[in-house]
Amino acid sequence: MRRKKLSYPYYIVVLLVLVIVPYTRNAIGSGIKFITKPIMSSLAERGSAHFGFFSGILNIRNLSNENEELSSKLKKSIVDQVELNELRVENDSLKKQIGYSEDDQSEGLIPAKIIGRDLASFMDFIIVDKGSDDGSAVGEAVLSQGILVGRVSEVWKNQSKVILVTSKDSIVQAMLQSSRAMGVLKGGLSGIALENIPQDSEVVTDEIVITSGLGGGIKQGIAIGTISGQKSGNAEIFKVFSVKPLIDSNKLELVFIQKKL
Amino acid sequence: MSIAYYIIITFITLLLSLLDTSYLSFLEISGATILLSYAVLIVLALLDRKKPTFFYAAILTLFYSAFSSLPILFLIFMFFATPLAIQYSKKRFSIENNIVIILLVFFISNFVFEGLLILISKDFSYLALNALISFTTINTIAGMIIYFCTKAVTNYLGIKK
Repeated sequence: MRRKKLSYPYYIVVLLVLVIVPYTRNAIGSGIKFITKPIMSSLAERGSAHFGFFSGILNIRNLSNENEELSSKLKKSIVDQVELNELRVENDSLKKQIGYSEDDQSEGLIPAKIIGRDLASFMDFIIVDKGSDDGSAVGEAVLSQGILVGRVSEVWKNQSKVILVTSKDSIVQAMLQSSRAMGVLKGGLSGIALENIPQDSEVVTDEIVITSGLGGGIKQGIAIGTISGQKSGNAEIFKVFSVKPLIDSNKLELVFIQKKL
Repeated sequence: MSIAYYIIITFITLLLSLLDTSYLSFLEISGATILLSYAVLIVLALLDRKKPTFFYAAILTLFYSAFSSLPILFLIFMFFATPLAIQYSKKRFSIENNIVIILLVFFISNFVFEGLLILISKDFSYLALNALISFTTINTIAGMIIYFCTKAVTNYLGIKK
């Protein structure tokens, strides 16, 4: 007689997934991520190394324009840097005179490697290899080259999930550096938008958008992007601007989690 | 299917999920990445492997719920409805696998996958359309390659259904 083939594991697994997974996503996810962390890190390193080259080729069309744009910005930056250095010296001197002390800005930064990314481009998040054991906590800012790239949304023992500023779920309290108008920065597939800017604010293209520090968690003055255009009409109560991020989140490999003060 | 077979499928699913989230996610083309694991699911459904297909779908839902932020109901719907729809259509209309049918299956499945995601996110824009076209194109090509590679390997090894 032919032996009946084993089929119960199939039914058990399908039923378990359908019933249990929706209610235990975080717990199961945390366990699986903990076990697979070394493989994830290794694959992410290789992926970044292999596909960085291809990404360059795919974007070669834009490189020439970007090069010209960057050259002109560099010249302007050199002039700005000279002015900034002068102001820094003056600022230090004034601080000394009034006895003001400031904590070292580099303190409280946790370097973290990106070991996973979201599959859907508009639900942007990344997974980094630092978790609660390393001091990471929910709500902390995540930076790269001093620029805000996102905030920690979930923390596990050895890993954290970071919602990028480009994500549709991201909301950051922000302000304009020159006009000092405060608003709310929201992500989405159609780009980042700075909302709730009062109509009387004078905003110019390329003005830098920084964090306002409202709501806690993220310090004031961290650069996010530049204004690339106005989205709202004149009849609306508040102005809405589209914001060009200063950093391409797809090219990130290493980030820093800024611990809360 | 033996226990060993289930374990092998589980490991392959884990490997494919990790490849999608940690390796291939760095190759972004116009806002879309390659989903190898979804392509493999479609291949299994096309090759009429009913039991492995749904076991694979269940394990894939489990791993994707861990590694991605996609809604659970969306994952369950896509990973179970896609093979069901393929197998039902093949049976209902007595379709045999040929290059046009395979191309259509991959195209429609990937289009529905990304299209449904855009509907869920309610973010209808030029970039969303760009991502939809890009996702459908690159995953249809990847799926076709995987299908013909799988077919070649199974023929070479003499594996029957």
